[in-house]
Amino acid sequence: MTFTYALIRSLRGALTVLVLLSLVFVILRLSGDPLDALLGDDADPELVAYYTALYGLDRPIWEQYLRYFGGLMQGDFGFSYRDGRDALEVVLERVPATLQLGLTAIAFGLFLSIPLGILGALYRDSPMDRCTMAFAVFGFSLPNFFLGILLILLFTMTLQMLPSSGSGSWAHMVMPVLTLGTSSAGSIARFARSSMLEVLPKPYMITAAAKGITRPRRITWHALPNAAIPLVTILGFRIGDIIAGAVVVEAVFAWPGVGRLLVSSVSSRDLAIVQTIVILVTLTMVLTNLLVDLAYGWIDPRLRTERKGK
Amino acid sequence: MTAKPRLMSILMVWMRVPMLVRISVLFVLLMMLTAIFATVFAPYDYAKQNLFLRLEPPFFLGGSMTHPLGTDGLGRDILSRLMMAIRVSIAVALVGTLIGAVLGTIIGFVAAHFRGLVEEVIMALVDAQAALPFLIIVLAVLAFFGNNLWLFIGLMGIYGWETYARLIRGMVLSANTQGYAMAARSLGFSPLRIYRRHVLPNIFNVLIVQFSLNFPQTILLETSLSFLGLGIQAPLTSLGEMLGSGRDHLVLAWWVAVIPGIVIFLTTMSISLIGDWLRDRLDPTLTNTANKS
Amino acid sequence: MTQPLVEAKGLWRSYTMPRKTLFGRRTRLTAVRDVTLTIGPGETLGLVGESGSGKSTVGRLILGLEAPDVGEVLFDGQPLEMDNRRAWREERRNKQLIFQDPLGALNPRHRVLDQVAEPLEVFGAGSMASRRDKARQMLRRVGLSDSVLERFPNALSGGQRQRIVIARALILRPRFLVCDEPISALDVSMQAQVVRLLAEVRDEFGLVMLFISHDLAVVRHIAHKVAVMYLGEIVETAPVEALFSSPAHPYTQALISAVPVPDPEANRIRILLDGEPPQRLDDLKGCPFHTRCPRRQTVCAERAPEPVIIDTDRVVSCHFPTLEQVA
Repeated sequence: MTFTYALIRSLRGALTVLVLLSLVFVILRLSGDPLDALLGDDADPELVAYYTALYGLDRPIWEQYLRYFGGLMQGDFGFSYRDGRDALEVVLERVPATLQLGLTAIAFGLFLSIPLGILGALYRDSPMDRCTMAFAVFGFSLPNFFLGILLILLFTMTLQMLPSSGSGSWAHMVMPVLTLGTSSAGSIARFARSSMLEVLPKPYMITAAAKGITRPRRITWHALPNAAIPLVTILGFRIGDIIAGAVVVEAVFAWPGVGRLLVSSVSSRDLAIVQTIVILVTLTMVLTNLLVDLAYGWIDPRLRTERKGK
Repeated sequence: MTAKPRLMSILMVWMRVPMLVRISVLFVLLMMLTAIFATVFAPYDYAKQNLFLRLEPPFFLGGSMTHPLGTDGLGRDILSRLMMAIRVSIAVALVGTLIGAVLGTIIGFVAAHFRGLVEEVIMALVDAQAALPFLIIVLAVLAFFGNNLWLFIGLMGIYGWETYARLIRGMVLSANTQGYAMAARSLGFSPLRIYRRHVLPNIFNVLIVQFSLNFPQTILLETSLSFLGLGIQAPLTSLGEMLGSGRDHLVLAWWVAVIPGIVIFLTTMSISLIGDWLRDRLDPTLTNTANKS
Repeated sequence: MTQPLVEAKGLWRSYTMPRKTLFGRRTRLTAVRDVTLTIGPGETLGLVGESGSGKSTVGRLILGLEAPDVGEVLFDGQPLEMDNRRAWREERRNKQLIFQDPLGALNPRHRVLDQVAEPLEVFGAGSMASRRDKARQMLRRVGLSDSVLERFPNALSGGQRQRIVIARALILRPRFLVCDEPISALDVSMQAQVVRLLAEVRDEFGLVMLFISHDLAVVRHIAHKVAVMYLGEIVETAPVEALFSSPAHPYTQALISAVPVPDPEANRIRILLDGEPPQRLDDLKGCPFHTRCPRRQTVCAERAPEPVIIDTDRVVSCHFPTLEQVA
């Protein structure tokens, strides 16, 4: 029945995308005449008439709505009014930089937080555990833009080791990755710790100990696989945090990614670009959550058999 | 009950609160007082420029006590600005969180009461909002509508509603099918009375906990946006705006950015610590045994 | 014959189960099928059956807390108001419910006295002082001392909580009381006291009662008439002594043979049921009990038995009812 399950999840995801895209359409129409943004307030009436006909703005609203979706399907996301280029093209050329930053930061965050969480749980109430909890609170409370500035003060101003902005070399990546990774690592560490703590006193762990299995083996073979199951879902949620964090971090370190493009497009009200980014982020989020859901079903043997049983 | 035993019992509770939480409570109180009396205690007008006294260091870095925390790039007194910024940031976050809590609670009740299509539509909206990082939503709306203070506060209010709606809907549904709400219904009480007098008081703890977890997140959202120059805008100031404009002077005067940063950090940390403690104390259903440190 | 206070005619109620697969059909689960019963003035009807047999659903249908799919409930000869919410609420005065879980039924944040007085406030009876006074008297009547008045339900014992629920139900002076497993959540030491209390207040206030329980011994103690339910149907109805002395339906016999008796040496036959209750009741042909019945014949699997009157006030749905003594 895995197929049906996947189908239901996919349809739900598609519904979410549909709702969000409709909201974008509504907001777009509510925010005033789209031609004002495109042509400026005092445009030539002939030009206004030409574009009204071109974009079908004289048609009934439902037809505009269908056209809007039709356009999106064909990859027509409008034009950036700053340089007149295809909006999708402008956004897509920024994607690799953001992916590079985001994926490295996730890897770094996991590398930092998972061991911290596990150690915190294994040595509960020890100084190690207190470090984990303190790190979790810091990770949550320290705004990433402030952490970024502190890192610039330390590594650029004081130690003069790393460049404070731009991209191109590994040195440029260090601080953005540190900033972005740390802020999400806090909550992951905390979650890893609590899901580990939930698993440790389970009867099968006690049975394993009674069977004489050594502690390292007990932890790697019995505890970790079970603790990892809920962790997968939380990672899905963290993707959203990473995307939001990337917007801020890219602005702090002048990283040439989608986030910085978004901030500058919002300032200059380049609506086509903003809309394209919102749609891409929506698709990314829905797809990731879908994958997480499916991975969850695949990873958790209980769900597997349950569905087979039906 | 007379006033004296009540005072005593408050003291007793206070003594049992962990030290870290006590400090946090005191710090949050200090911030609240600063927010309320910002204009009374501020030594200068927060917007008054003095271009002859730019980037003065604070007193602990060799500055004078005329400007205890120094001055910024336009020669404005940082202490006065900080007080105003605390007022704005706390007020925006507080109003925003309140709007979100009230809105979300009402929507949650509506979903649980009417069920059917109403519930489906609400849950689809909840899913849609949860599917996008809220920062992106805010940026998009600000891009489409342009920035203005009330829209911005309204957006802060929309931030948390979906968490409350989901939470309240679940709790009302379970209360309706079993237990005291079902009992009240069978006694012939009206739905409004049941929700107001019976269900709401019983889930209030959960609301308080959610509020205290939501509040620091709203502060972080506001300061992030203001830092990007897309939230609270000059001439008004906020902690994020101060930090953002201080960024231009990192080389010469790092404190202009670091001082508001520290305030943001301490405020969000204090409220989160209080929230965690409240969750452990008030809400056994949310308590993850593992989260007690 | 006097008019019965409560009359249920051919009640059906089914629930929609969530879809198992995306394109799968929504399955419906029938909880109550064709239930007919009457409760006369001053009468207590015991409704027994194992868990999941639909007893509680029948209770909610008769109270009007839920609407039946088919059939109707008459109260005092009048059909139950289901559409007008205000009139529906007004009718609650007459019919009250005692819950299985008294802790769940009480609001943990309201003081005992306020909870018992609240129905009076809702139905606008008297001043605040007089309402509290009435509530205090009712709490005394159900055997609670004044020391519990200002306390919260969490601080009380299970028996005390159930007494509060009873006091709250009685404060509006209802005519009809449904007790849905009122003692199964209580300590054994409390059960007898609460049953005795219910019998006392019934006589004192002249209540008509529907007493739902899986415990035959308790029902025997309090009820005048008993209806036995199996998988959503009433299989046998009889006056209490007749039912215990000569059960006619094989399922009733099995239930009665399982009731503990004071003398373990007594010579009696235990009827042990084998087999499983059918999984999908809605596809079931024939008598619902035929999969477990010790006396089944071919006809049982083919045709459902019609209810037959075998004596005054005795109805049984079985192809082969017995009237012999069992124990």
